[in-house]
Amino acid sequence: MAIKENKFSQFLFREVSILPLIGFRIIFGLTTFLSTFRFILLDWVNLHFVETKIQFKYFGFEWVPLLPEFYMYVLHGIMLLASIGVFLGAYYRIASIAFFICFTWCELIDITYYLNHYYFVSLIAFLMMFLPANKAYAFDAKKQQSKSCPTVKSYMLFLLKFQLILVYFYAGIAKINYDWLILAMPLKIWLPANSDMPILGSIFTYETTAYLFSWAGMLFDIFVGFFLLFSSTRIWAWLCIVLFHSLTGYLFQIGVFPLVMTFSTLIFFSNQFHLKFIQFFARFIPFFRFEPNQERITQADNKLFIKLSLLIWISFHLLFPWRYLLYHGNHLWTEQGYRFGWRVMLFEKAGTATFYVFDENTQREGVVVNSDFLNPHQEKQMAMQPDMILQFAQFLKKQYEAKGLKVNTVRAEVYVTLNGRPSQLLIKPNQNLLNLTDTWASKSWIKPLEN
Amino acid sequence: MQRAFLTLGILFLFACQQKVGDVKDNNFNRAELLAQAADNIIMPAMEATYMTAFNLQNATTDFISNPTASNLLIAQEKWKLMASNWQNINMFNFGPAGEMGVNKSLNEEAGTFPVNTTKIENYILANDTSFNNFDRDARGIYAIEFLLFGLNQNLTEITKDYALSPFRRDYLKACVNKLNQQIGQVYNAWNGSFINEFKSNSGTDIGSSISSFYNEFLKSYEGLKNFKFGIPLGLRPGQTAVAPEKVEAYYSGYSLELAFAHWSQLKNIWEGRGLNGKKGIGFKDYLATISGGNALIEATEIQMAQIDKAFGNIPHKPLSKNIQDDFEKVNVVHTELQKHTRFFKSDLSSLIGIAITYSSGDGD
Repeated sequence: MAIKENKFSQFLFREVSILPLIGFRIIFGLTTFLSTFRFILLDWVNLHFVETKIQFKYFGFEWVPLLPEFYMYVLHGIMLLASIGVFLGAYYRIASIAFFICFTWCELIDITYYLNHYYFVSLIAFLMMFLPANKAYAFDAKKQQSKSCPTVKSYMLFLLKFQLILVYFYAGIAKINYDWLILAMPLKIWLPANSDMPILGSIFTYETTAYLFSWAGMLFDIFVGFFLLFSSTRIWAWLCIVLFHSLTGYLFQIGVFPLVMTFSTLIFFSNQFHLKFIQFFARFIPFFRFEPNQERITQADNKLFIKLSLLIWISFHLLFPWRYLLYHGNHLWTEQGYRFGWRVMLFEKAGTATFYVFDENTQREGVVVNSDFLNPHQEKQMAMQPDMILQFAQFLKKQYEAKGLKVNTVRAEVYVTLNGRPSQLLIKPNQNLLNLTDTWASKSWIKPLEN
Repeated sequence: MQRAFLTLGILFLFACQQKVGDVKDNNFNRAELLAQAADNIIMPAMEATYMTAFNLQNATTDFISNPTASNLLIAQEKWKLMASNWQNINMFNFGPAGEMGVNKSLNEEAGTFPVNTTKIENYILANDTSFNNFDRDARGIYAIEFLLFGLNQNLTEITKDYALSPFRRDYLKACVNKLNQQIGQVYNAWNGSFINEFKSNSGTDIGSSISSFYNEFLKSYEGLKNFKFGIPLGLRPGQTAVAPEKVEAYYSGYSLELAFAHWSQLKNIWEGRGLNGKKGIGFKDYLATISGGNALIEATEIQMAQIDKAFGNIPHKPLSKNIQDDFEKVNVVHTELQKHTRFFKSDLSSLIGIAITYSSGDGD
């Protein structure tokens, strides 16, 4: 029984070349390998997961356990192997699942280290588990020639492209705010701090430069993803991406993210491009030379299931970043609904949080020295994020009760500066933080941002 | 659409190229700040501290070879000079003074207090001057202080201890030599290649000179607040009473002078002022070139005046005595320092864009 399919459905299930997906697999495997390798090399496994006294938990993911030192290294070891597996298309299903689990696990241990690009990698890793990226030019394809295949369904590439455009587009939308466009903040602070950069450094001291970069950055983010879609603008858009990420990568301490985005966006390029790209690697990796079985027809899909899944996935990702609208106050200040919204390098913010612990036994209130319990990164992040402040208060209660104190009251004086404004109180200094719990509800105990 | 794209590209290029006819809104020269900090503040302070440590060594050598009350008095005075000069360099705890290999930073190696007198006496009893241990509270400036000033002993009594005990003489000598060697090592490194390294590393990322300079400045400030006031005042959670014996320089009774010297040097760095009073470029001048900077300078200096006032109200006797007799007056200093923290800590670093941690930020 043939039901006439609408155009969109036809588009989704059209057979297209597998080449861009293979190119993407290679890039994803390589960049995640590099990222993990760098993480280990910089001793961050140790600094983030071993030498810490507290982990700040993600709301809803408090159950994700920190493992003993040895096993944290094992997790990272598995990630290294898994990323090589993804790169080679070897034992791909296991490798991609292992990578997703280990990577996301490590991310969910401590919210201190939350970065949008880690969230991005987690999402891509999740999608990669379901995509047949080992059906050609892969160790698996060579091993099981009968299962190899030159095509994939169009929706598979569409989904990855959607995810990439989403990052840029929402990062651009997020820049449409008063501080970014009208005050040119935080670039007015960040650019002069880099005035020692060769050639460009000298113009970073002009205020006009901050305005131009702010507006250009906003327009770039909003449009560049769409320009990647059209063959006539693609190469120019990508060159802009290279320029943009090279610059931000040089200016800011942002790790491997510029690399990840610059190369991931190659997925928009033509089949011929990807063929050449794969052939380059085939010089060193023999089974990349192996052509897929041309006759094999991909299996029939459960189209309804796939369409439904796509609908849910895409709706979620389109809507979730907007949840901040449901909360009171300026989200740059309160950070309610701020994370998981592609708000990248959006503000300059810092805080000083002083905690006071009241001991019922002695009726004395003591001042906490945060660095006794937190590493510098944790201290910095906690001092400006309300949910982390609550968690730290609970931690202090436990910590001091173990020392024999009786603690029913922990309060904090938290001064935060946002985009160069004079610092002001983030929460009421007399609020007993132990009486509060973190929920989805609006945090009425956060003081509104003034001016 | 292509047109929009073209506009975008041109705008971006324009952003990268525009130069002419613009007002320089922020032309702060970090390299100049670093050069002045090195030449005007750090080097003179290092040299003075090195010299006073050397003089202390001479005086203790004299005292050890001839343990008389008058020689002891001279050594004590030399210690006071050395300790007050130490307040001028304890915030330069990076580069050659930073952690290296098995060695902790100079501040931890030489400046740990309170010292553990039991450990010191045990090392003396065992005639162990190897320092082959992690007991940094049994050596350094404040161990020397204990050895020279004793606890509630007069000059004659202390002198007698040395006359009777060669081990005590050995330990004092070893502590002073070690201190000289450590400070000398740092001073010589600055005098050698490090000064140029410091001046030329003019970025703002972690590991840059301004980042080390600022981060250690802040740490020193927090040390003043937490260790010289907070703990002796009994203000930490879990402390059930004041702990006057935990002040800096408890044995010499020189704590108030030293704390104030420490605070004064922090103010000097803020202003870029050298020991000779010569005004150079400080964080204050850096801030003045940044939008929002002047408001912060004003707020900072209003609070600094409060701290000065609080210091001025403390009766002129050791902090340990004041904490017992005049708790509130000492407590006010801590309160004002606490109020001041945000200006030096988050506000300053945020405005001048200095990196505080190694970790990656949120990429774009």
